[in-house]
Amino acid sequence: MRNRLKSFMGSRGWFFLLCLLCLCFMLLSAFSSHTGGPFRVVAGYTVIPMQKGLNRTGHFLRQIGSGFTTTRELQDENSKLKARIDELMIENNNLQEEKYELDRLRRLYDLDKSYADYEKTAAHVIGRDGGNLFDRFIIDKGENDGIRKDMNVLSGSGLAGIVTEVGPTWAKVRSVIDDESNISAMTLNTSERCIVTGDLALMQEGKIAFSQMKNSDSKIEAGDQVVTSSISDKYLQGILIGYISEVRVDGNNLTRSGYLTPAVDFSNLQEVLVITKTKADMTGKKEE
Amino acid sequence: MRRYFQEEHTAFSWVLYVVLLVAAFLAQTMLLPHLTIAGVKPDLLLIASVAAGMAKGKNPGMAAGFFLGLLSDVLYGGVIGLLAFSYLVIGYVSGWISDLYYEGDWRLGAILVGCGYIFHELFIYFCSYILRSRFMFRYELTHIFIPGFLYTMAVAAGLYLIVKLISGLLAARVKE
Repeated sequence: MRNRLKSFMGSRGWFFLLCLLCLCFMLLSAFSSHTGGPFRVVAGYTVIPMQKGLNRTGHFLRQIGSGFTTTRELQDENSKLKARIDELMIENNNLQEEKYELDRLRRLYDLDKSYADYEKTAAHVIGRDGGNLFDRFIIDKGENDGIRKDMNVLSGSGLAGIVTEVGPTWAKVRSVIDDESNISAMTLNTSERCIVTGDLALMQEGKIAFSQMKNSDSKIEAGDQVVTSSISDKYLQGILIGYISEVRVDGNNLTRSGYLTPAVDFSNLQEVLVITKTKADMTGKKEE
Repeated sequence: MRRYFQEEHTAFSWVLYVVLLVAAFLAQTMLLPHLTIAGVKPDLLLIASVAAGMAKGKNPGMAAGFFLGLLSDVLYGGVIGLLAFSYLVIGYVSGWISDLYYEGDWRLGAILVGCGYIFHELFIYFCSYILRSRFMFRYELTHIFIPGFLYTMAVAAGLYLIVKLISGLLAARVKE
């Protein structure tokens, strides 16, 4: 009897045990978001340091690679750049003047709450989803650096994604082109609200779809900017998502939909900025 | 594949086993996103699970699949346990089947990687897309499934040739 049990536990038993364990994890993570907790800590001490190290090595190698240019090229470039500096100095002076004017006018209109003023912290992308069905990535900053769930992630001037999970030294970000991404947005110049949705079929082309925009008299054209709307409860207001590339009136004649070209180049994401305030902080609502 | 790894299960071969699994995970998440062809990446974790099963048997294959899957579930996945389950089954079945059949045959490896890919991709697609009622199977089939399948098979074949070359060189040196 004991032998039998032993031989059963030998291999098949382990197999069923592990399968059961996986099933339990799946069920648990359907009900609570804390299932991965212990594993998250383990990952933070094993794979994440390696990824960070490799990432640093990659940057280093790239820097070395870009060091191989000849003196002649550098001299040429230097003289060109000097000429360019002169041009820019003149331009800069003009712009400075205009900036003072702009500041004054902004103050008049109380418009200085643009998202340039949100506090941000920079992070490196150290790994991307290995599969083909999703677009998520992890960054090298986590709880210890003050990152929390639902913080917005920018790249350059555009919205890249949102933090969905945080480990001690890393955080998982779902990009806006992922199939599970849904954002409440609006056009910048006419404030028409719409929903921006990621889509598997568009993900690879780097496009996103928008829908449910009211078919009103306001004119929407290709090239119009789309930003996060004021009514979103996860995304801060006024962050650029992308530019409209195509718009059409839906069959019901009540709404409009179309496609956006995102402001972020997702195929080559390396550095991102995380806004260290969530919408819940801004509105004073507590996270559930 | 098996014969080359499996002469004896020495301590060195176990170190190699762990190192290769970690390398596979790092490559999958850091290197391959830069090497996509037609927008898809090959599935190195799958190849690693199958190879572990073939080279070391049922239990090590199962363990390899389980830990690789769990790691990518925790770091990248949505539902924890989904990828772990899929890779676990693949690792176990590879070990089991290569125990039954003549060992070291490249055809067996190809069939296992191919079937594993089909099983894995369909399983994940079903669980993460169809259960959210996102039906775009034709797109997924032509744009992700088939290119991914071909790419994965090609990478598996390439890795097999490299391993064969190295083990051939090692064997020659041992003979001398």
